[in-house]
Amino acid sequence: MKRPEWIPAILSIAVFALFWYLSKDFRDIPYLISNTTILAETGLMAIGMTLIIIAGNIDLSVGSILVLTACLMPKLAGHASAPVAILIAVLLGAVMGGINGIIITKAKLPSFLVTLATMAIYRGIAKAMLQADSAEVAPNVKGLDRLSLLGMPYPLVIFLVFALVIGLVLHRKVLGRWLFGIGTNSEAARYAGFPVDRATITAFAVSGALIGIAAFCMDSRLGVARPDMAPGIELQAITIVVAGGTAISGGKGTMVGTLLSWLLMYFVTTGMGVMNIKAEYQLTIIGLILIVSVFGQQVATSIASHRLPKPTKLSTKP
Amino acid sequence: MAAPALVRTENLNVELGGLPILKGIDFELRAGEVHAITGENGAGKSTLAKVIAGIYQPASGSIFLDGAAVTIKSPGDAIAKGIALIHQEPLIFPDLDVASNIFVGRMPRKATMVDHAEARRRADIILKQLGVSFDARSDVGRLSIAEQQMVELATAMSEDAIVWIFDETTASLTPKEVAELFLIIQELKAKGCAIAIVTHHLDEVFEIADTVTVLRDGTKVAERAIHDLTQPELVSLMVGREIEQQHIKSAHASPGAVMLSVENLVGPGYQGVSIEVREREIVGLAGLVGAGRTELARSLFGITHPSSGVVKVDGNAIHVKNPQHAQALGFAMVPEDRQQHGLFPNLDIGYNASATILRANSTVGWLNQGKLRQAALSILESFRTVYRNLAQPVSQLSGGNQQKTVIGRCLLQNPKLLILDEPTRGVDVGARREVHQFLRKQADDGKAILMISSDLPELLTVTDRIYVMHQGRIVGQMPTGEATEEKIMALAFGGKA
Repeated sequence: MKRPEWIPAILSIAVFALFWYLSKDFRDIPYLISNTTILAETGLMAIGMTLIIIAGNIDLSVGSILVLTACLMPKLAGHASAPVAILIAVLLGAVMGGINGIIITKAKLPSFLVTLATMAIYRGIAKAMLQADSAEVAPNVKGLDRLSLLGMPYPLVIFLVFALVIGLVLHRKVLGRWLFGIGTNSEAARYAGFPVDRATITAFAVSGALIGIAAFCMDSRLGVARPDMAPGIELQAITIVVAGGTAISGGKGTMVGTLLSWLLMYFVTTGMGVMNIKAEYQLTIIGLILIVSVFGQQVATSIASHRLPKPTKLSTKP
Repeated sequence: MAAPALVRTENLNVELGGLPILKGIDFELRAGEVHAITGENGAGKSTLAKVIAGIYQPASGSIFLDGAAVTIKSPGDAIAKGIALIHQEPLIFPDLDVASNIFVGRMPRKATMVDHAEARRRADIILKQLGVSFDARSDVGRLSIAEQQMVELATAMSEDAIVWIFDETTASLTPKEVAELFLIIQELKAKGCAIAIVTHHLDEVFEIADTVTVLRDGTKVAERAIHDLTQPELVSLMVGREIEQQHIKSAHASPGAVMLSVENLVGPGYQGVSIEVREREIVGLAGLVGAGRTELARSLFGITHPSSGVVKVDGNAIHVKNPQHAQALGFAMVPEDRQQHGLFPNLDIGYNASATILRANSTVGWLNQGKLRQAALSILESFRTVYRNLAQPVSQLSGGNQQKTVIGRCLLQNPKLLILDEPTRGVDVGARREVHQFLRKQADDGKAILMISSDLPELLTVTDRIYVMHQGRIVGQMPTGEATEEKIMALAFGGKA
């Protein structure tokens, strides 16, 4: 029980079993797999958010980055090929995320504040640009969600591949180590010679790039982009990350936790969807699951580690 | 001297976090007297002041006020009993005006409303007595530290305090402001108040005090009338412990080439600093807290930047841009504050021990985890660090083992210059000795070591040469063989060797 990821894993199995028992529609595995396309986009955002939160920050603007990228991409890409459109989306997202990181590190402002502002700014730009209009997506990039690879829709494959790749970066590369240290104690990170600013900006930019991919998936799925899409998606992404055992205070978390938490979120929303539970109730239940998951992890870790009393901190000044 | 004691403590014992800080203190503060409480860093002088002012509660012993035994439950209770504590850093509400600060919590009222006009009128009367240049309407946040202290004084005056305790009040004041403060203290004394000043500035003791109590390691070692005492006598009373440790000698007859040379460096907290550190040499940097030693070390390591002067490494002038650059130059630093700047408390020991060598043990960014593990294990082993396994959170280790982890991580970089700021603070005696011997071994192997310490026996045990800093300047240097605690303290206090 030492690994807090057990909690979302157990909850996922429990929720899966519950809906399997309750609903005939839930027992349709091909449907369950094909229905992942929407939440895969949120999942891509949760991957980047994991890096950001582990480094002791938060990005509230991810939903606005998603929407502005989704609105700009069709305009800039025009009728270019899909790879060019993806590249544009990735660059747009990375720049917007990078701007967040640069302001936070160079102006030394709290990420909560900065991204609260850019959340308004990025979505505001999208609204000012399109007004009540929408941006039409070129036909050649539409329909990614209906293509599949190894029996899985493309967005799901993309999400899983990036979860693996970024997970390896987080747990096996120097950058990942730095992020854990920065999130634990950014001053100690500075004294240990970590490039604190550069690593933080990189985390925000990588998150932005992943949001760019999510925006491409969304454009491709919907065929049209509107500035009022995906309301509240940033909170859903943050919920997935923290329910997966990443400490909101930074310095602790795993990509496996985020992946399992995404699975839990997927079973809950899909299960309630097939049972025709109203959206209002869904939101309440997701909130409850967040509390249960986070509280359960806290209890589990404190049982597992048999916490020794912390050494008393003494002031050595007279 | 014949005046009765206004405040008296009898066999006062104070513990903080389970550690005895004050042991059996008998202290008397008489009306019409200025009584200095002095001692080295950590001697317990501020603690004594804070117990009398109700901030700390004694573990045992009694406090008498005007002859009657009392319990001073809280700072508020102390104020109600006429005891005022003036802090080094004034405790103020920066967004309120002076009058509201003075009368906070007890503003005069008209019917049920707060009467600001009356508060300002009363405040201005007190401010006029103090002879300050601001009025009751000024925003306290815009005042200087000295002026903010005047607001604290005015508050105490408005409460008719009879016992005044000044806790290192002059530390952040200019000489002129100190002189003004001393005038006010003289007036309070003339009025018959009892005044205690906590200070480690010897010249202040001799300038203002009538009596001095000297504390050392939490016990009272002397109470003397000031005219019975000379400055050197006071220093030896403050320091006066046996030198219990033998000097750990260098294996080499002489140090090597100059590794670090600093010429006339000026920066935040220090001025005109020139020092040299050679290979195979341990150089000590002595001085009081706030003398600018840590500030100098931070600039050498690229955390802050000097405004002028030259830093040379192996004879080449360089500008240290940031800690990464410092590391590339072969510097490593053990920071003063282990909790704030040294440790990643929730992360494991393996992480903490190997945090500085991540890039050296990776291939295009991919960590070589086996090598990192080996490096961490070997350095912890060679330092005889006590721990269960590398996955244990570092916060579970004792202070000494935490410090070994931080020093070990710096040594893994194989630095040419090791800067240590208070390397054995909060470290028990056994581990201290091990750290000292380990440092000497590192120096013998060719490293240059610059060690800041407020612990004089430590400097005398480990170093080859000692610089002394006072108020941001180097005020003396000596080979450790010629140094004594008295000599160093006299320089550190701003006197002559």
